[in-house]
Amino acid sequence: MANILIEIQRFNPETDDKPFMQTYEVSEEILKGMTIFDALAYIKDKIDPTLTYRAFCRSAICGSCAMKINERAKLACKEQILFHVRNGKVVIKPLENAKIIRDLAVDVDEALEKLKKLKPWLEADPKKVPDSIKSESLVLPEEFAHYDHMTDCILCMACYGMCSAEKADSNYAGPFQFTKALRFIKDSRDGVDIDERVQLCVDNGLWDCVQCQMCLAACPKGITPADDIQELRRYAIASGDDSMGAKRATTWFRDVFATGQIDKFDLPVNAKGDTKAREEMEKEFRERGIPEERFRPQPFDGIEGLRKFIRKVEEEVN
Amino acid sequence: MKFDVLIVGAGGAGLYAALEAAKNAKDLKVGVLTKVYPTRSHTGAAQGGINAALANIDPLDTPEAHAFDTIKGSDYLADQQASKFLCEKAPEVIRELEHMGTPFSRLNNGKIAQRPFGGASHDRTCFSADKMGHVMLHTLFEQCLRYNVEFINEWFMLNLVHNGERVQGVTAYDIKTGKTEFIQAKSVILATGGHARIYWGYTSNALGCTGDGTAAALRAGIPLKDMEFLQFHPTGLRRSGVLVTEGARGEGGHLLNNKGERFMSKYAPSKMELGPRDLVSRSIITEIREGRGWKDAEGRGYVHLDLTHLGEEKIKQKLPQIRELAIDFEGIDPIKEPIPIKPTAHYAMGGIDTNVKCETVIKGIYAAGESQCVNVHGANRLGGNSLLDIVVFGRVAGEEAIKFARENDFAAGGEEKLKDDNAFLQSLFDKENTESLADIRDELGHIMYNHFGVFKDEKGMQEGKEKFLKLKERAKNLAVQDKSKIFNTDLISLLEFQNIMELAEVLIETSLARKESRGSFSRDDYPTRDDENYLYHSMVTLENGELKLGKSEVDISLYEPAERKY
Repeated sequence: MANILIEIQRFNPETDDKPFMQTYEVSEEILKGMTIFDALAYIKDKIDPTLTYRAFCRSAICGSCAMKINERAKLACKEQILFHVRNGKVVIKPLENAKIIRDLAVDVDEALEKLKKLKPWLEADPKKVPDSIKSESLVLPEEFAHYDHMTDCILCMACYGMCSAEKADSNYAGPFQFTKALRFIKDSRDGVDIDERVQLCVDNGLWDCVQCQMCLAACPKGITPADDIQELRRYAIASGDDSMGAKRATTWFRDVFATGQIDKFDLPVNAKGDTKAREEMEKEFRERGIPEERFRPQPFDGIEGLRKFIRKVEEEVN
Repeated sequence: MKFDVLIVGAGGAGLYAALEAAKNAKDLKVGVLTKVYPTRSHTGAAQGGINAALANIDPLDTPEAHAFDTIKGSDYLADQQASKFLCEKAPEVIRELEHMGTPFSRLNNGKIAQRPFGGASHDRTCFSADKMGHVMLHTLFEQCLRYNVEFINEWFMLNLVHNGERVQGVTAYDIKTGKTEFIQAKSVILATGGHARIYWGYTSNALGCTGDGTAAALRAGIPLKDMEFLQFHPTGLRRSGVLVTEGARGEGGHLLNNKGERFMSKYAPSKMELGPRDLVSRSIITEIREGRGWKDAEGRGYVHLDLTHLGEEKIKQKLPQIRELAIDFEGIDPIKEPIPIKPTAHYAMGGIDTNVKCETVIKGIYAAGESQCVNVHGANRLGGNSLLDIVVFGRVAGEEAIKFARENDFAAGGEEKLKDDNAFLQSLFDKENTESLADIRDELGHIMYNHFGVFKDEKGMQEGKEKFLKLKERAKNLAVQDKSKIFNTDLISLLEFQNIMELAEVLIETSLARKESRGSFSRDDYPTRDDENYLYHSMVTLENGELKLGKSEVDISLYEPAERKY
């Protein structure tokens, strides 16, 4: 059988100026049945004791070993290595959006600090939770079902490492953080005011998510932060959030419902209160001789069908 | 660093103790030191559930019935009043966890759901699907964030420091930077988890379940108790030891040897694959020993758990998680091929000797959780009692450590211990390395599994002991090969290995001394329980470099020991 090339990004701040790739060669025979974690352990034990990574449970529950495998964030212990061989090699790098400590081990503290800002804990609602430990709160199975799957999160940071919004702005809270926030909004035992929880999300970048959906593919537990963020945004609008993101979303919706298109002419004013952009556009339109009734989009033929469709979707969501 | 209360370990026991302090002792400075991050702790891997006689399903269940089941399951080695205390506290601890936000599965009336479990006379095990430990660990962590618990993450405890009477603090190593520190503390709680990693390569446990606190206690002169009792699970995956639950056999899976025979017909003709855990484990090992199993590249034997005859549809419908597990961790699809399995070391009943207040012989040092041995589980722990143990005794340890820290000042001195530990660490870097840690660690696993595993007898154990002593000599030549100060996992692995070596020796000595079979501990040459001569807790202390064996009485004040029949 052939040898497989395992290319691993290395970096030790004590000795290296910048990260570099190092290639290890291991026979396919040996790798058969091994997870990526097994292969890393094999390299550390047999080839290079300086190779550094985190690993603990080996069964995809502790969340220590998230890393990038062929540019996708995965748990090393949950992936068969031969499944990931492309053109005879596998490329392994540390998670992005976090400072590298050494090789594949990255900083966790910053992401946890951001989590903490969203109050990721239950504060018992005295109306629901008894004040004595002589009895339990009652939670119907259908109430529990609203957040059951969100409690699967193992804080592995795979979603965080793939997040486009995080890459653009390091103040952005992050995908798993928002899922955790929604989990407590959904918990009937929680006594924190929903508006307060939503405001914490808005303050920490709720509207910055670009819905690239990378977190959906990254999560080893099938949790859906991008969807949870959408739901948090609905909560934000319902609670009267008038931040730029909320305004943009409501304006888009109103425009599309009215005409089938986004009204780019008024959007800067509606979303940002920016009148200057509209003035410039108006000047340009007039210079080109565009008639005023065409500055804004008009409803297209068959708009009623679209509106019907939107109403139906609304009904289903609610 | 300096703390009124220092908790070492951030699994269920450590976090519960920390919460107790954060909520009720705002006057005290409390820190939690962990070699990983709290939510990485092995508590998270517990699947099945947590026992408490809530009587939500079975109105006849009571804490007394729970206590009796626990004591009977322990094969009468449990301290009965302590087991009773555990079971009496269970309902309120569960409700406390629930009030904190733990997402339990629910009954249609909204109450916490409960299910039947091995060895339990009533449906008593509260659960959250198959992730009870995970949701409990995360809920405790969330509450710790809420109450601003101070975590010292990715620090490795080196040694306990005391003056012979009172604790002074601990020495510890910062994994991220490589610096060491003497951390002064009025009281210290050891919540450092189990040590099934002494069966390296043959265990369901996380890589770090190396009994660091238990070994540190031994080095500090604190007695260890009942160390020969370690539970095996019959079906762990060949490579990782990760558990394949009994459900696979319950749905009709067959255990096959290399001749394609359903060998359980020889050992348990009526129950076949669904015989009791220890019997199934022993049968598998017999097949492997007599050459009817297979061997992997590292020389570890295994047999097959065959589901292929169940067909694709049934496997996909009834056993989807087991299929996923086999595909992810073993690279085998059970629809197409049998799953290679072997019995796997799972849970340590023994540990640091404490009383029911979690006190050790040194004032100010407490222990809780799997590292502790009260002993509430005796010779055999029931499923669903380990998560209970860690929260009940985590809370007790927290209360007691707070009380002690309030009533006492810091004990002076202890800093000098850091010099010794620094010199020791330096020696590991300076030595010339002539052995491979991975090879020696594998060898330890082989010795322990083959000579002190599911099967034991005098001859086999003596042979094993000789092999172990030779290995101990070789292990002296181990050195750190990675010379970096930053995140040196080569060093940490070596320190962990030294801890399991020390504990393995204790297990060897206590196993040789117990000439009977009881609970998880079974000897071929002494196949029955012998209450007349061996109804005692075995105690081990390290004195002047030598292991001293002793005994302590078992509390049987509630139920007369009887034969354990199911």
